[in-house]
Amino acid sequence: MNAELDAFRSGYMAAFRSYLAGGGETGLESAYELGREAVAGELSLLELAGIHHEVLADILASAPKSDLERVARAGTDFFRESLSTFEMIQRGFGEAQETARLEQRHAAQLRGLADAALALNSTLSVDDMLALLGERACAIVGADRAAVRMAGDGGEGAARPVREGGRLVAPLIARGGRKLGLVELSGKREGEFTEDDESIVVQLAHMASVAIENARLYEHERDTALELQANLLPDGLPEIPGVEAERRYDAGGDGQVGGDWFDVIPLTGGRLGMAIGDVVGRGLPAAKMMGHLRPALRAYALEDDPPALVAEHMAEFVRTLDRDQMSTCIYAVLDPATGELRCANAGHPPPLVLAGDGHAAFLTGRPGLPLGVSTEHPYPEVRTTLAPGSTLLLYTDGLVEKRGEPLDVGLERFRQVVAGAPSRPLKKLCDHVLGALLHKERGDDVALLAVRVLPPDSGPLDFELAAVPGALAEIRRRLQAWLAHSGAADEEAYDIVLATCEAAANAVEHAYGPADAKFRVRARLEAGEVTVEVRDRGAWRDQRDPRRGRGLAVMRELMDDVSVNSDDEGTNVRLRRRLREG
Amino acid sequence: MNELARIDIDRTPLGVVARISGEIDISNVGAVKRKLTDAVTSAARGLVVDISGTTYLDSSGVYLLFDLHRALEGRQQRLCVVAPPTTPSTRVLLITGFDHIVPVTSTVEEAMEKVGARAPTAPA
Repeated sequence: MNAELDAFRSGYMAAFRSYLAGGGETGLESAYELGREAVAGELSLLELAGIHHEVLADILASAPKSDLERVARAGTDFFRESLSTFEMIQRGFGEAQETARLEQRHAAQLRGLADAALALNSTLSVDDMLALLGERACAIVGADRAAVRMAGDGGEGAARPVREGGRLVAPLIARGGRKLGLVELSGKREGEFTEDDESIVVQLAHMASVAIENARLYEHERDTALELQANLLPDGLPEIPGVEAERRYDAGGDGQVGGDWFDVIPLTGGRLGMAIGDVVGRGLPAAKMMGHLRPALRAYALEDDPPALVAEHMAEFVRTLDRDQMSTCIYAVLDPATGELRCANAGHPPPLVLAGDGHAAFLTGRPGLPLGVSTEHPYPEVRTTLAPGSTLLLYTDGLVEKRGEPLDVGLERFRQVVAGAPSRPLKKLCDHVLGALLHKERGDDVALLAVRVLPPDSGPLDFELAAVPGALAEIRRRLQAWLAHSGAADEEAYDIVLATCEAAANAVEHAYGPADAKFRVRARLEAGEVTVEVRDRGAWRDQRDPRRGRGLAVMRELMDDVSVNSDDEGTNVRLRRRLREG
Repeated sequence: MNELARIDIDRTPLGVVARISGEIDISNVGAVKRKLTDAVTSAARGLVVDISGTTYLDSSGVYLLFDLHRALEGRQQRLCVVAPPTTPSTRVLLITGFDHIVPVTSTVEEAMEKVGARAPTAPA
């Protein structure tokens, strides 16, 4: 790059930085001035766009993640302003040189070019850029068809523009002269492709080349970091008796890689260790840092130290890395046999506990400092007991934080979503929570780890009740609890309870016998199939009674199999339903 | 009626809205029916029964609604049931084909329109 361009680039960088720092209208005026300067210095639109891309890329690379969106938006405004003056002056030249019609058309093309530059500039994916390039090129020169081909995919061989036989081909060439591919237009709507068409498409192709190259570099870094992160997070969760565990990870919407991490570690005596953390920052450095933390935590956890001590070890470990990076972290140890939970928190949002009855509450207690801040402060340990059926939820801030909103509001929203979600199976709870809380504009990544303490195997259900109407509510309560323990999803449980109560209602209404008639309800789960039997000591008086027929129809609709058998002893209704896989 | 279900009656000049929360089975279906029947004055265009908050409804409950529909029809009054898809009790209405005979809506507002009553805020 020559000295003049260098100087212009520095000026552009300085003006853009000052605009970002709050220059407002004055800042935009400097963009306007830069546009004038560019024209006076005979810079092409391409050179101006190239400089803008470089400056923006530099600034984005060093901007904090929370600021990326603002910088990108400001970049678009700033660039638009510098182009607007550029375009006016270009139009001024045009007026002096061309006839009114041509001038108008050319000005429209230049506007199209400026718009396309802005659009390319605000796109981060190469595929989107290629589509955009074809579409905009067609619109600018009034062509019907565009094909964009990349080198290695039929796009070689174009080193210079070609305009012949109803085709217009412009090469895509990277800085340094490497051929990226070509854009080919055909089907000009009015007449043939002109020299102006060629010049404008060549300019557009140049601009797109710069943008494509930048985006490829960006995608490459992102892919590397994503791959690194995928390799660093656990593939699956270990099977631990007495608990059900689920995990979710979402990389976030800004295309960057975050530093969220988690782990589940089987410990001695049937206990399990659970960790979640969030490295401050994004991109490759955060992913690398996470790559250090997870194995370190696993090693300390396997020493079987109490969580607070593991947290202290981790703080010390992060200090030795000497990387000036921080991570929040929770480490908790659960004994599924007793429900005992011990937990140490290094600056992370508090764990949420969802009780079996749908009540959700945060595990409060003062957290210690994030890892990497200090090694002087001990980590307090929080202890609690998780009742069977309770679920511990560990998560990262991406799930609860929204820009411009106090954290308390986000935490409360999360708590309410969890309390109101269908809780069985656990998979469904996680899907529901993410579905409700992941909003599109969110940039940050999100990790969620949910661990449920399963009740001890309750075996088959078997009880007898007086055959009176009031017994039905009791059946519902007992069967509901048994089905929940057996892992039935909420709507499966509802269907089975309804079918059973229809059978029991028949027994109550239509069975005859001694005044103290009883019926017996038995339920068992075998190989994923629930069988419920309702037996009474009588015969149903009139099975053609349309009302009872309706009850039977409901049972048949709700269950996989229904059989009714009467003998001298009474009537036995057997209902079967296969539960969906977890 | 026992403690299984609670019924809140809201009488507007144009229609009656009955919200049932809790459970309906053979132990309380008779009491629920009496309360609903008594709620409909002869001046009302019809009855809206809102079961959004009904956590359990069995076939006896569906029969109650069928009977109510027939009784109201005889008096030139209409029944509409509010049962959004998210309510567990909606399932049994669909299984029994109830929705083919009696209008079922997701909101009270839609139901008020079906029974021919205009929303209270609209000019009379």
